Amino acid sequence: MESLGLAIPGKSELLHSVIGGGICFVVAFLVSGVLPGGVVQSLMSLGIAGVISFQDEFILATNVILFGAAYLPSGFIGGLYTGYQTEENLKITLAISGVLGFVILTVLLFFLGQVSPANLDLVGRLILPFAGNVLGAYLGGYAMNWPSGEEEESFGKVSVEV
Amino acid sequence: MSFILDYLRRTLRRPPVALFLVVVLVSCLAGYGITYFILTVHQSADREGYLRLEKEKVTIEFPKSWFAAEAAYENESGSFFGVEAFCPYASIYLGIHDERYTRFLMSRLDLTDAFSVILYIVNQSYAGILEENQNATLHFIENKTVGMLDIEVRLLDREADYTRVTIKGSPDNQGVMHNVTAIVMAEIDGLKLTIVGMYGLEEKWGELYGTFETILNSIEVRG
Repeated sequence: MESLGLAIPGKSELLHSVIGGGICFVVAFLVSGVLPGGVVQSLMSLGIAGVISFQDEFILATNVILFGAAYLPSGFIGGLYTGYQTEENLKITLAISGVLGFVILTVLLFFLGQVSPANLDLVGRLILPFAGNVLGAYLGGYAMNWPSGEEEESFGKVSVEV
Repeated sequence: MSFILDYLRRTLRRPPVALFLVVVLVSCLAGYGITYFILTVHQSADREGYLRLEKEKVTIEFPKSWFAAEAAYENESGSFFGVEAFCPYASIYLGIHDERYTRFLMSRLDLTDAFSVILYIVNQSYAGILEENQNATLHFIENKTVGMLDIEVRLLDREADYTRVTIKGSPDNQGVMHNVTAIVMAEIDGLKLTIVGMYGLEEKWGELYGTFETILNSIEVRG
């Protein structure tokens, strides 16, 4: 682990990663529950609800929208929290937040009957939520810890050209 | 105000934030792009504002603000397939049953001919509405053959029986009462039962009628 530049996170870091994962799950659950209805409503108001009849293509479109508007932002928000609370071992703590958010969401959806192994939408239910949550968590965590000293200094300078 | 702008500028300049916003934007645009791609690809060649849904056994064209779906199944009792196009205030349905399934249905429901099938469907629909509103009333407007109806249905080769009814006091999802009009047609051709049902709000029936006619005549059945 250490040869890869990774160290085992401490208890406090683990706790914050778990809370970050919880935040990621709650946001993903709420947004992914509401968003498909919103997409349908927007199509109805645009007068093009007929596209829903073409199930395969429409599910692809919904999955792409869900990735960008639900899974990625939920991972990002969870990552913001984890990144704010932990400054070290970000590679591991952020991964824990993203993966945990995805796992809790998938398990809950399984018990709610929306994810079924017999009829599994691999891309829409596993790959995109996983990628969105993990990528979002990293982006959120590193956005919070991005070095900004240079920028702040440059804002304080005034340059005059003659 | 300038402090907020400065803060936003600094935040947005962070590569992870910028990348996040770009991915969100691209995903949403791609999703809506795919929907418009569906619209373009499945546009009807002959009818403007209509989409064309092609399935294994049936092809149907319907207005782009409507939905359409196909249903088909086969078991030891026979086989059936149907297609339905609908919007929040109207629906049109076509169902075709093979000889075995027609025999099975007729004996199980104790039906004798096409008109008894029509009456069965009307009564079942009315019973469903009565469960939600006990004051709903059923009015038979016409009982004729399709030859006398000004809809020309290519699918029904011979003269088919039809009935037109109005049900007063049919509640919608919000519990608001409406008067609905329905036409049910049935034909038994060589023991093959074909059913066509059209349903819509009475106040929109005038405009719906033309749409029903267009949809019905766009249906192509294979096999």
